[in-house]
Amino acid sequence: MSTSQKEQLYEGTGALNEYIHEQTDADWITSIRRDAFSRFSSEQWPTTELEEWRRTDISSYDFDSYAIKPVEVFSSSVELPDDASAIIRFVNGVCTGSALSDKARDAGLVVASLRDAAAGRHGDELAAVVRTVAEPIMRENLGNADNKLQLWNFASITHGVFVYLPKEARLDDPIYIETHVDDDEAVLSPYHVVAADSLVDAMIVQTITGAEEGEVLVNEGIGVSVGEASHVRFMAVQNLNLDSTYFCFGNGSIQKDGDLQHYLCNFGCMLSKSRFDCTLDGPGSLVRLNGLYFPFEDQQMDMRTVQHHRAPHAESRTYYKGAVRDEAHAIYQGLIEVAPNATKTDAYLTNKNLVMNDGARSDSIPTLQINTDDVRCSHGSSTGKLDPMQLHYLHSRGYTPIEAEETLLMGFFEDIIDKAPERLQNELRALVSRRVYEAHDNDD
Amino acid sequence: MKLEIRDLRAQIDDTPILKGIDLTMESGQLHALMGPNGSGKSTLSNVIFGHPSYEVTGGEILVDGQNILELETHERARLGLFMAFQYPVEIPGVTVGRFLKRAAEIRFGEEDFKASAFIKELRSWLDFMDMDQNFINRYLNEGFSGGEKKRMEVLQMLMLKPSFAVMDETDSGLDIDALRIVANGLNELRGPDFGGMVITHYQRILDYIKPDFVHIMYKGTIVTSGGRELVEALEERGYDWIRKQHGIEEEENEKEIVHEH
Repeated sequence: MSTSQKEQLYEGTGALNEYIHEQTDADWITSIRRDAFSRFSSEQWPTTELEEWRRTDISSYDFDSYAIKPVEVFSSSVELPDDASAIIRFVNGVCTGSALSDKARDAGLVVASLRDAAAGRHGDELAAVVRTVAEPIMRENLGNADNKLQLWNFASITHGVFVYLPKEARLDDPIYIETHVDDDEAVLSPYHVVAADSLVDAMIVQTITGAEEGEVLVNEGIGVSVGEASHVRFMAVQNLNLDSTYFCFGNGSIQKDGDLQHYLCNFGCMLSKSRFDCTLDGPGSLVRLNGLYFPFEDQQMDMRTVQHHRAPHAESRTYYKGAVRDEAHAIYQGLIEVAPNATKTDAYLTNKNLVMNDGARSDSIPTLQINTDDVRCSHGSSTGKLDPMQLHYLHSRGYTPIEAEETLLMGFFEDIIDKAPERLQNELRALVSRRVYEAHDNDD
Repeated sequence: MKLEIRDLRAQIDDTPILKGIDLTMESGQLHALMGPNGSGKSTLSNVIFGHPSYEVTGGEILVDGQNILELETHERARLGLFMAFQYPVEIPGVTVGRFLKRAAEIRFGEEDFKASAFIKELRSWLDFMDMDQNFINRYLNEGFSGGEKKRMEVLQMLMLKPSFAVMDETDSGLDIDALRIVANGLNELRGPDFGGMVITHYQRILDYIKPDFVHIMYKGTIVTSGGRELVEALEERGYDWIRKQHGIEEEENEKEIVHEH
């Protein structure tokens, strides 16, 4: 383990220009930063006057006071877990290692630090690939960025992964992206690119974890591109501590006959606001957006999905499901948008909430914008409570009150857990179970 | 196990329903509790299990001397009490196998619990109850027919082997074949370590299970108790006979109190 020399502390967004100037990046990344920064400078932070931000007031945040801190740079090796195609780990914004299975390497899989690879630190050949693949994705998503947080993310990218799956790369085992942040008051601005060429089959599992205490802010961007007839599953598990804040703006684009599943598993943070915006660019493409969330105490989780149909004969399914406990507040906004040429669109969105007590809240706002006939689009949402008769039934079989509650919650979440890749389902069950028990510990 | 109910009084929404019940039952005995609709039979079973909708206003229920009215529902169950519900709830997302495995662990202790033996036993009781093996992986009661739900209650009872079980109209809504299967299940459990109270409107099920004691309930009290001959008398002469026998006035618009959920 080696420690680098102290870097400068870039205090406040006022120091952003200086930060950009000091970074050693590929020219095209610097250029993206500068373009983002120039728009950032003239943009206002989102206010509750905007529909998307109406229920999440961020005016109490003084973003100018957040400093991008120097980090201790160390390298260590990571071990490839069993049944994994690859792993890459970032600790406090620094890539601490990566590993690939032989099979993944043979298939041509690339999993690397985006900034390092782009800057040629893994060779010129890879730098060229990154530029060819990642630049258009990032440029496009920057072009569509519609708020200051997103622009801040592009301008201040601290780290991120570059995952590239060449044509016909078919990997059964997941690619793990682990982000850990335990540096108190850290501000991280990751940008991840996942690009699949045609005829690819892959699963990405991204986890964001942190120390038990200490406020951190993660403002993340994700760009996913799914090529023709490719099948990509992207699981994201956010489990930061309850002092922290998480923003995430993800974009996915899917080509002809491609298939993308994005699955958000939301457990952490005092405040989180995430959006996953999918564009069905090719005919026959399929998108599935899934969310599982379980806020408690006074957590606020604001989630948005967009199913953007731009090609005919495409199908999209969104299913978000959550339980809300204590004083927590969950917000789900879903949009199905169908372009005039996207005939024969088949789109559906569902949001189900379980409000566990008075004082907990959930808002569900589905919206359809359909600009053509000859489509099948609909949405459904429901909000329910724990059924005292179901609880009583379980008690009558000897289940303690906490076991009964856990059992009903497991039952409630079962059909959304069932949509996750099978090998991850038990982990999701454990997350739900842990949340029930930690909530009860607080009650006592 | 000895279950003693003493001067038990209970109400729902300020309407008194149980007006002083006295009843003593023990393992090794099978009791039948009969009475017309609204007499308070289901209320009695629900109060024994601490149903949240009912308020106990007097009396006590002792299990081997311990007043269970002071216990939570799950603590009562852990003493070895079991209730077969009149209207078993559906629990989506929770399979029969998973649900019963935990219930069995609770009943028999986690240390002594053997998963393989559990599954084997569950499969054999499913056969016995003439239920398909795939019930193990179905969500509890979800999409079950009325008869399947009742069989599921008896199946649970067979698996959990309670010391004392209350069966609340387990026979209602069953055709004759299902009734026989349910009765077989109950008969299978009978023995010195098992006691039960069968609540029913009809004499029908009592042809298949021969109760040791019969109690007739009317307007919140037990008006008479006896042996099996009481069932036949009731069958012949109807509840009017009971009413006249015990000098009970019939009220105009007699209030039906039915609380399903």
